Amino acid sequence: MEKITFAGLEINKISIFGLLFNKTMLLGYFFMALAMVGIYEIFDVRYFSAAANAHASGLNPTDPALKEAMRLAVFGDVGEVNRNIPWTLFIVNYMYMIYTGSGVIFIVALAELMGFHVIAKAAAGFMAVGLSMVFAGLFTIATDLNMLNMLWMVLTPNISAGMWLMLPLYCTYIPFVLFEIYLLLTNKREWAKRLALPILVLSIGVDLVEYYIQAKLFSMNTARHLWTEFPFLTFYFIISAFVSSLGVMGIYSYLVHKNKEEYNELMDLIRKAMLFFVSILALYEVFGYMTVDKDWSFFNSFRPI
Amino acid sequence: MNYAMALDYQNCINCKACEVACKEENGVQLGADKQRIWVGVVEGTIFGKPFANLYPSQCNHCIDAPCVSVCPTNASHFAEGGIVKVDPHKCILCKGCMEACPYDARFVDDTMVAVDKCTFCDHRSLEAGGTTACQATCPTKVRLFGDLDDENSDLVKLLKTKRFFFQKEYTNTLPKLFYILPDDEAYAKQSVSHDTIIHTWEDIKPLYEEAKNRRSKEWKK
Amino acid sequence: MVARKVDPMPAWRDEDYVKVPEGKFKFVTGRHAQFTQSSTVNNIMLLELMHENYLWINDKEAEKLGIEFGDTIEVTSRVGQVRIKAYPTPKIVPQTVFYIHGFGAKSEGMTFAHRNGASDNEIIEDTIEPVHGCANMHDTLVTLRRV
Repeated sequence: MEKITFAGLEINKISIFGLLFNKTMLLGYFFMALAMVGIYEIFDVRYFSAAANAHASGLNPTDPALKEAMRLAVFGDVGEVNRNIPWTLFIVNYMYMIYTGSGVIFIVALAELMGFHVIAKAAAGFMAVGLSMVFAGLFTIATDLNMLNMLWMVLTPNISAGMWLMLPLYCTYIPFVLFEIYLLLTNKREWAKRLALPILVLSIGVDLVEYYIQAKLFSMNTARHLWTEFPFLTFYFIISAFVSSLGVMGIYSYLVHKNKEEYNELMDLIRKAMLFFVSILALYEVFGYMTVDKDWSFFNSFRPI
Repeated sequence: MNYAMALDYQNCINCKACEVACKEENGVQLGADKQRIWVGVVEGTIFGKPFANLYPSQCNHCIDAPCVSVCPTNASHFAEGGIVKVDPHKCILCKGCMEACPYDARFVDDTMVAVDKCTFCDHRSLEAGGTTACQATCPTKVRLFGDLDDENSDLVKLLKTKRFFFQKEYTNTLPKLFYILPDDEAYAKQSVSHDTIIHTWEDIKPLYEEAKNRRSKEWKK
Repeated sequence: MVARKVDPMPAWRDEDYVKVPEGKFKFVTGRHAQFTQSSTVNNIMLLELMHENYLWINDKEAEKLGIEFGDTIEVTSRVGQVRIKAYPTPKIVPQTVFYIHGFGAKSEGMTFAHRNGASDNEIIEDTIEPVHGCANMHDTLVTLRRV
């Protein structure tokens, strides 16, 4: 196939039509359509659904739309979130995507550092998967937040808040990972090789910082007992992210490397690592059940159902 | 100025006049889930004899408020008198404060697309002796709003004569809703769990003054 | 008056006492602090505090009958029949059921209160208290059936 060389990268030359309409992109369009439905729903409920306040009936007592809104408020369900479950499926999806995605990136960097050549050969593909999952997570959270007021993140920042630290974190994390992928793909081998090790060590540091900030953010969630306390939560997040990202790496290997000769070795490695991290996670959970909140564990284990 | 409220909760009759008054005064969104203030009900039986305890409650306006420290845009802030408020124009709806609040005092107001909470009715000219809508409407005089710094205020006079406790004191947020312990020992035993710490004004005053001096720099005019 | 077999003073007669037979319940009604007679039935601010009434039934009896919270119960008296959700609670004695007055309005003009819960007026028998001439509100016997 014809190649274009751009900044040391070799890119396959295909037509615009071939780029936009192929099997992979059609799957992508399907997911984008689903995302559009989700965005439509959240915007509909947030900005266009009827919500009445206590003064409305006094100001405009004969409005039939207001009457319907009041009926819905009192006899039905109103609003996008309930006060006892402020963090909904959006946050669940965000956490899964972000943790698994950055877990993939973290694991690949660790494997490269420890000298697993099979992983190192497929590293760029894995990292791209991880980064796209991070993007999916960020997209989810952008849908959930009120983006109209996002400017205040810059104008009046509260720099000690975990939630605010996400902004500088991802502003550095994403370019950093992109650069890492570039280094893996580029054919300007000379300086890429020289940069590889420091960037690798730095990326592991960035990954640790990321999980640390995530733990700072989510430790306020007091209802999740097994998540224990910040900063121990960092390790829990890292281990559980490893488990789910190894699963994603397994699926990716099955889809991409199935007909290649390194497939068996790759899968074997993933299987072993998975077993290792699942057992660590199990130990952690057992330990958590025994130490974190005994009343809660007892209630959860032995309550009549 | 350090606004606080005392609740003589044994007088509460669960008429919920305070909830309606709050909604009418502040134009809060309709819906059972959207309450700035509420009456907590604990029901149960002791040896087959049923009882119900009523704990009228609202935002505790904690001195060390966790909701303020987790807010990424400083939309949650301390106003004058230590009142914890939300600036709806800055709220990005991350709902972190709702998770962080030990009392679940916050909710999403869908008419403003922002988090909303009790403001101690700070538009009712509190400095000139105004009071909150919930206190003004309460038929059994459960609530008493006042200034902790003013030794001659009704609030401090009441706290000096009574013993009191806080809800969820173990979260260490220094809440400012003082629940007055009933004089009737039997009722007090039934309505307060055995591990609740009972305070007097003498032992709590230095703690709250020190905390106020530490945090009052952040209070906005 | 004695000659005409009328008590000169109110007197207790055992046969006037309505005894609750096995399998039946005595229905009592009442109000609570939020609603005042029928003038506030349609008030949205008050309906928000409580938008529907529930049938109180002793929790031990409910367990025997297999009634759980939220089950729809058909309450039948000699004069009428309503459907309402159940609320088993220890706050009420056995053989007695209760729900709050002022719900389940028949009129469609009650835009919010139309048929929210059940109306007690539909099942209370129309009898007069012989001594002072008031309506007997708490003497109706009802049967319950889970729907």
